[in-house]
Amino acid sequence: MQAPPSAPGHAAPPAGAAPGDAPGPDPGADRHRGRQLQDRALVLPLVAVFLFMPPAIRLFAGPQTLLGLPVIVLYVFGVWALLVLCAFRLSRGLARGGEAP
Amino acid sequence: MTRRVLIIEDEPNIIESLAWLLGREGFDVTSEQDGGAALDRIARETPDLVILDVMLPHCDGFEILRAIRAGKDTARTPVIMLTARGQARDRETAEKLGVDLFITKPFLNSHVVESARRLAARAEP
Amino acid sequence: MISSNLIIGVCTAYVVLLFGVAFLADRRARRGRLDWLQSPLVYTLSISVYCTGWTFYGAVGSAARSGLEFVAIYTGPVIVFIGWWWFLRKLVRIGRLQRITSIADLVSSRYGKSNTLAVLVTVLAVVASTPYIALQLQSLTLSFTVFAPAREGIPPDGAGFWIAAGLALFTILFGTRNVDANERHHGVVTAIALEAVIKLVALVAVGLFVVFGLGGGPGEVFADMPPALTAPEGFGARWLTITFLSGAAVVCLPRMFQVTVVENVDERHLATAAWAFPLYLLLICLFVLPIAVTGLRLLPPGANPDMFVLTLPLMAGQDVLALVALIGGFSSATSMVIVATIALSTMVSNHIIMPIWLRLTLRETKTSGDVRSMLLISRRASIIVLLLLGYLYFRLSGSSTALASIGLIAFAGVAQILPSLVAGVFWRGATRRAALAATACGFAIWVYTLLLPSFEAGLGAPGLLANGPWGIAALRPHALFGLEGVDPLSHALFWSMSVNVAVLVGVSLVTLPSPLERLQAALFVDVFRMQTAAPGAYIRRYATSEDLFTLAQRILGTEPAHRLFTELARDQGLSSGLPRPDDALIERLERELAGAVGAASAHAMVGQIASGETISMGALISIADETAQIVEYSHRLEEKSRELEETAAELRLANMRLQELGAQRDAFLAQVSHELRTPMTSIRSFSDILRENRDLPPEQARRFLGIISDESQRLTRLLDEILDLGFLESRRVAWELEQVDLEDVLDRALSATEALTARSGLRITRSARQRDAQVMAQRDRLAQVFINLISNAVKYAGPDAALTLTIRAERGGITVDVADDGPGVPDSDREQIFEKFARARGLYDSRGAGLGLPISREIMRNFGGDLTLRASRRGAIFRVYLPRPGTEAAQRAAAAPGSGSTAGAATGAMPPRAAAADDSAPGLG
Repeated sequence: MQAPPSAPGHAAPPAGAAPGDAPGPDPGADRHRGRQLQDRALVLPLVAVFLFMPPAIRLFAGPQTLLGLPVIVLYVFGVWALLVLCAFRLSRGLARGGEAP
Repeated sequence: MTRRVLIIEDEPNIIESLAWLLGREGFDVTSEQDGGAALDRIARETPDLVILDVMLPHCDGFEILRAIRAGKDTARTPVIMLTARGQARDRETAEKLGVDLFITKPFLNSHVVESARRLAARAEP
Repeated sequence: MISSNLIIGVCTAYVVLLFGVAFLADRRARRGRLDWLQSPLVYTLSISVYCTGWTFYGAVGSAARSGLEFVAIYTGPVIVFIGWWWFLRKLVRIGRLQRITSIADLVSSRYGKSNTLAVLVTVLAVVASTPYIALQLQSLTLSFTVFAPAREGIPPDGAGFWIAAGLALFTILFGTRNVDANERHHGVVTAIALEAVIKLVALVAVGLFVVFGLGGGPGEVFADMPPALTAPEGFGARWLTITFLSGAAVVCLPRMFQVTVVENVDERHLATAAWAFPLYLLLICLFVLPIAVTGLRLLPPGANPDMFVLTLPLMAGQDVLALVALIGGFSSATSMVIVATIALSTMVSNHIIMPIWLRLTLRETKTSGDVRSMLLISRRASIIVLLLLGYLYFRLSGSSTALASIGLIAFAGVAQILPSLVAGVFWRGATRRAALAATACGFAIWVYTLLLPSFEAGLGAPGLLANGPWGIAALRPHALFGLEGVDPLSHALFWSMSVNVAVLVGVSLVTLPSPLERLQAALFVDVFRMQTAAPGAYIRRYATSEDLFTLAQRILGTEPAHRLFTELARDQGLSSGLPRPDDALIERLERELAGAVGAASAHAMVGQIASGETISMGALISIADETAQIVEYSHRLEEKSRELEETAAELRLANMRLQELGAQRDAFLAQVSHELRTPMTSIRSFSDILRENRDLPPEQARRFLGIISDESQRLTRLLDEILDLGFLESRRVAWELEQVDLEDVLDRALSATEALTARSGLRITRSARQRDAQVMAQRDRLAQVFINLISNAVKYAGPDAALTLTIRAERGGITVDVADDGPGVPDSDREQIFEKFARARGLYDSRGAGLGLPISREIMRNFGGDLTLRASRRGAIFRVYLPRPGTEAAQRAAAAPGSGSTAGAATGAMPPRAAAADDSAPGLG
C-alpha cells in the first residue's frame, strides 16, 4: 500500500511536441540543433546588414590606415570574407541536415 | 500406555469438543491457547500427537509446526493441523512443512478421532 | 599596338569557342549525360551573370569617382544570398513546384494567374532592361575604341550592330531550342559559366598586374589614394539606396530570376551558391579599387576611368593582358545580353504575344503543334526585337552617360516588382488589384523621376529638370514635392518605393481577392507546408481527355504530349489509353503547360476547353486556413498527449486501486471465512456429539447445548456486524443528525453495560458533568460507540480494572477519553486495531471476531468526528471526538454525511479500517 510506483515511462513525447527535457539520449537535441542551424541562417543576413550599413560602417571610414592599407577597405573585405565563411559552414550544415523543409 | 495429545487452539469451545472426543478414546488430553507457550510445552511434554490450529494469537501455527519438525525429540511427532481459513495456499504450506494431516473446519468428529488414533498409533513404537 | 584585325580575330575565335561549348553541352545534355552540367558549381557560375560589362568596366570607373560606393552594388546581393534561407529558398521552391517561367509569370501566377499583371511586369522589365542591354553594347564598343581609335577600320556603331546581331543569333540558336522555358538551357548555361570563369580570371589578372606590376604592392597602391574615396560621407543615404537596389535587382532582374530560379534544377545548389556567389563577387571586387587608384595616379587626367581595366595594361605595353581583359569584358557583356534576352523573350512571348494570338485564333481550327511553333517564332522574334531596341537606345542616347548610372536606373526600375513579389510569397492578404496598382504607380514614378531625366538632352525639354513641367516646381523630377538635397537615385527610390508599398498595402486591405487568387496565395505563401504542389485538386473543371490531349499537342508538340499523357495514364494506374480527365489531371496538365507558356496563358487555354470552372470552396477554405489549423492542431496534439498521459496515470492508479481492493477483498473473505467457520466448528462438533451420544449425562448435554447456543449467537452477531460495517462504509445513506446531549448518551451507555461491568468488577469513574455538552449526532449510534468501548475495556483490561471517562470541551469540539488501566495496546498496533479482523493477525489478543472498533470509528466519522487510540504509558485511552454544532465540520457532516469518512478512506492505501473489539454488543458473555 504505497503510492503508485513512479509511472514506468512517461511515454516518449509524441512527434511535434516540445522536446522533452529528459536526461540521457535526447531525441529533441537533434531537432533543436536543426532548428538552431536554421535560426543561424536567418540571423546571418541581419548581421550582414548591421555590419555593412551606417552607422556601423562609418566607424571605419576615413583616412586612417592599418599596415599601409585603408582601414575601411580592410573592414569591408574582412567582413565580406567572414560572411562567406559563415555562409559556407551554415550551408554545409543545412544541406547535410536533409532536404530543406 | 496412554497416548498424550496436545491441542493448540485459541477457541475454548473447540478445545472442549476435541478434548471430550479424544478423552473418550482414551487419550490423555492437554491444551494450550497461546502459541508462544505451546512451543515450551511441546518441548517439555513431547506429546504423542499434536493438534494445531493455523491462526493463533502471538504465533502462527506454521511457525509451531516448523519448530516441531526442527526439534530433536519432536521431529517425528504426528501433527494434525486445523484451519478455518480454507485457503489452498495454507494446505500447500503445511504439507511442505511436513504436516501429517490438514483438516478444514468445521470438521467431522469421527474423521478427527480416527485420524488421531491412527497417527498416535504410528508414533507409538 | 594591337590591330583591329587581331581584335576581330580574337573575338570571333572566342565566339566560336562559346558556340562550340554551348553546342557540346546541349548535345551532352540531350544524351542524358548531365553529371557536371548540373553541378552546383555551374549553377553558381551562371548566377555570376550578375557581373556584366558594367561591373567589369564600370566598377573601376565608379571607384575612381566615388571610392567604395561601387561595393554597395555587391553588398545587396551578398546579403540576399547569405540570407537565402529567408527568401531565395522559397522562390526556388515555388518556381519548381509551379513550373514558373519568368518573374512576370511568378507574379501573375501568384495573383490569380492574372495576365494583366504579367503584361505590366513584362513591359516594366523590358523598359528597364533596354537601357541595360544598351549599356552592354556601349561598353563593348567603348572597349573596342580603346584598341581601335575611330580613324582605324571599323566604326564603333557598326561594331555595336554586328555584336548585337551575333548575340541574337547565339541566343536564338541555344536559347529557344526547347519550347518549355522551364527546362534548363544547358548549352547557354554552360557557356555562361565559362564566361564567368573568363571574366573573373581576366579581372584578377589585370588586378594582380596593376597591384604588383605597376603599383609596387598593395601598400604603395593605397599610399596616395585620394582621401575622398574613403570618406565617411560615402556611406550615407546613397550607400543604403544602392545596397537596397542591388539586393532587389539580384532577385528581380529578369536574367537573375532566370538563372537563379528558373534554371535551378536542385534546391541544394542554392545552398552552395549562398556562399560561393558572394565569394565570386568578393574576388571580382578585390582589385577594383587598386586598379582605380593606380589608374588615377598613372593615367592622364582626361582618361575615361570606365576603361582603366584596358588602358592600364595598354599603357604598360602589356598587349596580351589587355586582350585578356578585353575578352573578359566581352564575356561579361555578352553573357548578360544572352541571358537577359532569353528571359525577356520568354516573358514577351508568353505574356504579350501568346494571349493576343490566342484571342485572334480562338475560333480557327487548331492543328497539332501550332502553339508550339507560334511560341518558338514569337520568342525568336522577341529576341531580335529586344536586341534591336537595345541597339537603338544605345545609338540614340549616345555614350555620354557613365555606365554605372544607367545600370542603377535599370535596378531602380525592376525594384518596383519587389514589393509585390515579397508580399506575394509572405503575405496571403496581398491582392491582384493591389499588386497591379502598386507596380503601376512605382513604375510611373520611376519613369518620371529617373528614366525621363536620363533622356533630358534627347527629349528637347531642357527646362524640365530645373523648373518642372509647366513651371510647377513641386513636380520637378529630381525634387518631387520639394524634396531637395537628395541625390536623384535616393530621391526616386524614396518616392517610388514609398508609394509602391503604400498602395500595395492600402489596396490589399480594401479589396477582396477572387477564389483563384486566394488559392494561389495559399499555395505560394505556404509552399513549405504543402507537401506537393497540388495536394488534391482545388479547381473543379470538366473536360474530355481528347480535348486535353489536343491542347497538349498544340503546345508541346505531338511527341512530348504523347509522352506526357502516357506518363499521366501510368500514374493513374492505367496501362493504355488516355488518362481519366479528373480535376487532379487537369491541374497537373495546366502546370505542365505553364512551364511552356506561363501560368496565365496555360490557365486561359485550359479554360477554353474545360467548362464549369469552380474553385472547390471546401478545399480552398481548408488550405486557406491551413496555417491556423496547423498551429491549432499542434496545440491540440500537445493538449491531447498531456491528457493521455494524465489518463494513463489515472488508469494506472485506478488499476492499482483495483488490485489493492481485490487483495483487500480476498483478505476480507478469508477473514470472514475464518470468523464464520470458527463458531460453526463448535456448533457442528457439539451437535454431532449430542446426536451420536444419546446417553450423555443431562448436565453435560445442557452445557453442550449452551455452547451451541452461544456460538450461534456469536455467528448472528458477526453477520450483523459485517452488514453494519458494510452499511457504514458504503455511506449511501445521508445521516439525519440531531442535537444530543453527550452526558445523556453516556448515561445510557453506562446503564446498558451495567450488568456486564458489574460482573467483571470494572470500576468506572466519570468526570464532572458538563453543562453544555451538546453535539450533533444520532443518539443510538453514539451510545453504541460508548457501549463498544466499555465492553472492550471489560474484555481486555482484565478483572477489577478501573475505567475513567473524561469529557472535555475544546475549541470547536468535545472529546471523551475512555481510559482503562489494563495492559494497553502496543504502539505499533495502535492503528491496526481499527482494522477489520485485526485479531486474526495476532493483534490485540481477543476472542471474538469483533468488528466493534472499526464500526465505532465509522460511526464517529459519519458524525464528522473521530475515534482514536491515544498514546499512553499504561492502559488504553480511546478518544472520542465530536464537533460542536454549528462548526464547519459538523455542518459538513450534516450536509454530506459521507464526507467524514472520505477522510478515512483517503488516509490511504490502508485496507478499510476496522478492528477487533470482539463481543461488543452489551449483555453478551
